[in-house]
Amino acid sequence: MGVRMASKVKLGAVVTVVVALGAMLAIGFTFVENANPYVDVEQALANTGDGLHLLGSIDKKSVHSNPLQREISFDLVDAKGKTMHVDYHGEAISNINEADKVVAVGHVKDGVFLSDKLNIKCPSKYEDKRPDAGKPA
Amino acid sequence: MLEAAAHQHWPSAPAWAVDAGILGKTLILLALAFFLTSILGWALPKRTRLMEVAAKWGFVLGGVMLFGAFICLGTLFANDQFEYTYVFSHGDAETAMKYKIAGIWSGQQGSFLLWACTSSIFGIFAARKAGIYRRWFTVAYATFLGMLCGILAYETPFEMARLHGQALLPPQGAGLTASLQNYWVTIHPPTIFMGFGSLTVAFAFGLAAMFTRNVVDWVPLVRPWVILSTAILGLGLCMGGFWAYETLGWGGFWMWDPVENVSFVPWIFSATLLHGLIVQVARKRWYSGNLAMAGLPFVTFCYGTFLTRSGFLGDASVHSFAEMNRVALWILAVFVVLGTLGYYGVYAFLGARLAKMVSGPDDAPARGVNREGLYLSGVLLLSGLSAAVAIGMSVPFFMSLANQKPKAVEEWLYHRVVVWFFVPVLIMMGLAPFVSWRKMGWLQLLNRVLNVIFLTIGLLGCVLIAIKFAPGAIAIDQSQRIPFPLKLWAPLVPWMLVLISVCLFCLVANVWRIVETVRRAPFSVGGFIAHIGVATLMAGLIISRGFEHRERVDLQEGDVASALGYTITFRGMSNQEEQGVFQRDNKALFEMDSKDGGFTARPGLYYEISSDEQLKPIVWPHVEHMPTYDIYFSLNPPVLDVDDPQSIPAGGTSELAKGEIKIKYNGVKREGQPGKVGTKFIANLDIAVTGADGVVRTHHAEPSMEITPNGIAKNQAPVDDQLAVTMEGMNVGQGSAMIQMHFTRAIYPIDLYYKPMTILVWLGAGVTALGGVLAALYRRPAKTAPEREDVAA
Repeated sequence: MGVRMASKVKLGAVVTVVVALGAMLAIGFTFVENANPYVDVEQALANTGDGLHLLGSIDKKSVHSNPLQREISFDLVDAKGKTMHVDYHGEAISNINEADKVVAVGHVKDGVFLSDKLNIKCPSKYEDKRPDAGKPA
Repeated sequence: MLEAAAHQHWPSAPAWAVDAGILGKTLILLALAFFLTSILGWALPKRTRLMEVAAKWGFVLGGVMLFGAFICLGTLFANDQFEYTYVFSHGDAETAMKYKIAGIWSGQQGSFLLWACTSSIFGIFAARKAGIYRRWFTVAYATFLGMLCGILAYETPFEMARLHGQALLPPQGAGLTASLQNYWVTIHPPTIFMGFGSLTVAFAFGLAAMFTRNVVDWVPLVRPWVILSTAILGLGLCMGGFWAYETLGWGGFWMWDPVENVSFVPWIFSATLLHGLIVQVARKRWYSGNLAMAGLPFVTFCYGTFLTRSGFLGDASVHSFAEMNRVALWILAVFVVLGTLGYYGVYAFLGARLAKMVSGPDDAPARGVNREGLYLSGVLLLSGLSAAVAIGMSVPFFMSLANQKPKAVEEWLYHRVVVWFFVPVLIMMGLAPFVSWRKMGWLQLLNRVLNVIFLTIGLLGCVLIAIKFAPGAIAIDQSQRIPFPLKLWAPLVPWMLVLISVCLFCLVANVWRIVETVRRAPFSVGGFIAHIGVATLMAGLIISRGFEHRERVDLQEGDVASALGYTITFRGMSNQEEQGVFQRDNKALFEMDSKDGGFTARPGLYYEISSDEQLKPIVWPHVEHMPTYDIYFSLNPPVLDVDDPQSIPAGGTSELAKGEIKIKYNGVKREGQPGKVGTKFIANLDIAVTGADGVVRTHHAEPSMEITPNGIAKNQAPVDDQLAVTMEGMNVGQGSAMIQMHFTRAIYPIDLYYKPMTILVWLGAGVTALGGVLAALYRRPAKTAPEREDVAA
């Protein structure tokens, strides 16, 4: 009886563990499959999908914003130094001029990146003005 | 880099401040020494009484030293000692004391010091009541605190910037980023770090139980700490949500950002452990499972901390992370790996065996339901939820480990995955209190919850009536659909009703159980109260986001607009002084009138001069809390320019505002001698404006640039009653001019949100925390009567 009970419990535990692992694998797969890739300019041009995350820095001189239309356009320079024009239309963003790096989410149409979401990263306010420890000024 | 001339006038750093920094550094090293003493004193197999006393006091004194270091850092911040790099980067001489203090934890080093301090508070108090586990509890705990001291010694907040070998005191620091300056920055981080600090207790207790070879008696000792930890961390998470809601301007509480997930995962694991411990106390089972679960909250938090500081998530989060010093990061990484491998190694070789030896016979009823079964399902679901989020937040890390392009897991994806955990968890939270530990038939259970089900249906009817008869401006669009997995679309209202009814069921069931038990055991209801809080919070999040309404208006000074049933009038600025718009407390005032009454919206608006001499507007939303809804008033930076300046060649034209404005530049004429004061360059423009009536009217305008003793003045010229124009520059070689069109009155773009039942979010958070604290107090080891252990928690 004791032996039967033990094997029963073990079977239950094994099934639970297998189901749990299966579920975790499925979730992991779902996340990876549905997650959106980070791309540079070259990859963005080669990719036809939506939800691309184009990563780069903003060419400050090219920023052109129209808050009334909730539109911002600028040239984005990726890590390889390639440039792409981004047209953003979405939530108003007030700190675009502070932005150092940016992730534009969207798709490419006719060589222009159309974005409806911008993730802005701002550097610490006076980072470049820190007293330079130990170095001759 | 600062100009050499600028810091010639800086005074030398005061001697006390130099000493305070040295003291701070020394205290951290002393803390490390005390923790090492404590580890050695306890770990040695043969100990004298003196060694034991030294080990006990070493642990306490190590904590005291950490607090001393924290006070040193606080003093430097309070007195604007910007010769310290860390104080310079996060301090501000001109801000209120609360923000100076908040500077302590707004960076990497200070937040690690805060983590060390809060951890040691919990360690010191928990060790005193750890009984037979004190030895190994202290060893594990002191090892962790020693590791934090190591990081703080490498990446110290007491680093002084020396210019030419001299310690000079700059007059001003870089300050807190404007978006952080909000009262929550003084409340939220200490609270959530108390929660983080408390996570170490269960981890150290779990290890101690295994090393002490007694995996039974630790449970009542650790249980109140786990409850408290869950309550505090939960409260901290909610505060983070409120902060986001009040300041970020998009009207949401939670966005599954990595920083949020790093706190969410250990919180859920903590709640999971808490329920596992209940089963062990009541049923004398789950010894092994609880040992395994006790390590998870702390281990996942350390892992998450590593992840957010490592730079792997750098592109996946809206937060900018300061990457850690590499040596400090390595210490953390090694600790995460050793901590995890160590804990689960001991568990595999020792803990699991010990647990098997004490486990009683399996007498779980074969048929029907019992509370243990429901707890097991609940624990599995919660672990699944937590693991799912942990997997989601690790995707960028795993992909970069596998040398793949990193990918982003976004908010919508989390929502789609986690909803399948939340719904059954809420149902179980409603069912479990009605099930007894002993066998119970399904019919019997149905019989018990029938009243709850009927009450839920009744309340759902009330919700339906509210949806049906919502006033015009906020009527719910019943044809709306939301995306579902497998590319399906679900109608919004029925899906919302399903989610709301699940929350209602959980809420009603727990209220019912409180009414049933409150007379018999008035202090045992903490768990039920916490469940009510969770259900209320979830309902608030679901309703306020799902039935949200949003309208946009662009309001010009002096005009009236209407949105969401309100008439909106701009009333000017709250700060009437000259330069008032540069004051941080300045508000833009908007009168909001509706037939049911009104209010004044006071969104924050002030200007800063940025490092490149540009005017930089800073805005805060205004939230008007009403009993049944919030009006979320998000002001965008005011617009004064129609577009960017246009460079137009002589004789050329330029179009603005989608062709509604056409500027023709006919050329420039000069009045006066070139280079002499008083000389003017006058642009000759013809501007055609298409009015709201569709009629095109052409205006002649002559803006000019004038040489004055103070430099070049740009004289604005009127176009019509809405528009004006300036000349911003000329290019003589190309014969072109830079022409800028302005609005005569600023335009305020406003996003207005109607968010129903947001009050439930606040209420739920408070009720959950209250329930948690009540439960923790009730389970204090000294007062726990053994015969009460089977009272539902």
